[in-house]
Amino acid sequence: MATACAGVTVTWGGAALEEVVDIKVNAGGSLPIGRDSVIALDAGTIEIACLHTANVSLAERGLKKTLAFTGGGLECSTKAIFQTLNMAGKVNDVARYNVSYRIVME
Amino acid sequence: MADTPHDGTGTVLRLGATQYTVTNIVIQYTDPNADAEKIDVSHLGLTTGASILTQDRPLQGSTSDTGRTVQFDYLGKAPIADASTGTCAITIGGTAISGFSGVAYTVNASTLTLATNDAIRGQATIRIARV
Repeated sequence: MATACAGVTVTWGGAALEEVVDIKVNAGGSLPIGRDSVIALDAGTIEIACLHTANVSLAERGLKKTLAFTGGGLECSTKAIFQTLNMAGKVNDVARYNVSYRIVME
Repeated sequence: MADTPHDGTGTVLRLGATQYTVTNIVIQYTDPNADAEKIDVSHLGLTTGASILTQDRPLQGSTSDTGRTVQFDYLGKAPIADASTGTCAITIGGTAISGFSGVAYTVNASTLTLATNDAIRGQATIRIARV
């Protein structure tokens, strides 16, 4: 039976992204940088859309923190670098925020 | 002969003092403030079984958008001028339709069709004031 994607919380460095409406995780990407290493600097991307606040500042761009998902069949945690923040406003609608992270494996 | 209480015979449509020979009437009620017009702000943090969250749009609909219109077809050679206004009345067997009789109207659209070997036919859509 399919898992209902509800009751999900998302945090980056312990700060919650609020009113998340969409999550896309594309894990994988580049190979480890050494034969005996698990370190990969570009191990995929995560894109999250929310209606309230992404709870990040552009001053944090490039910082690596733990991105954690709980609930709704999305239980996982990974190191991720905050990369981009998009804000969109449209007439007669609410503001929407999109934030992307780059997964780091180490 | 059996009664046919649900047919449209005896229906009269008047715009002002003019009574039209109508062949078809479509009356539409639409709530311009219905939930479907709100913004869906549901999010993944809601738990299974929770209600969908909606939020009013920041802008209100135009006051001229009453959500009530009447589209009708009629026989006659007089076109109905667009944007004309007045008081309309729609009755069925002498009984007024609530919200559509004795209320102000504005003509949204009007067409008149003249075709070979046919009667002259018109069609109009009027917007009804909400009272």
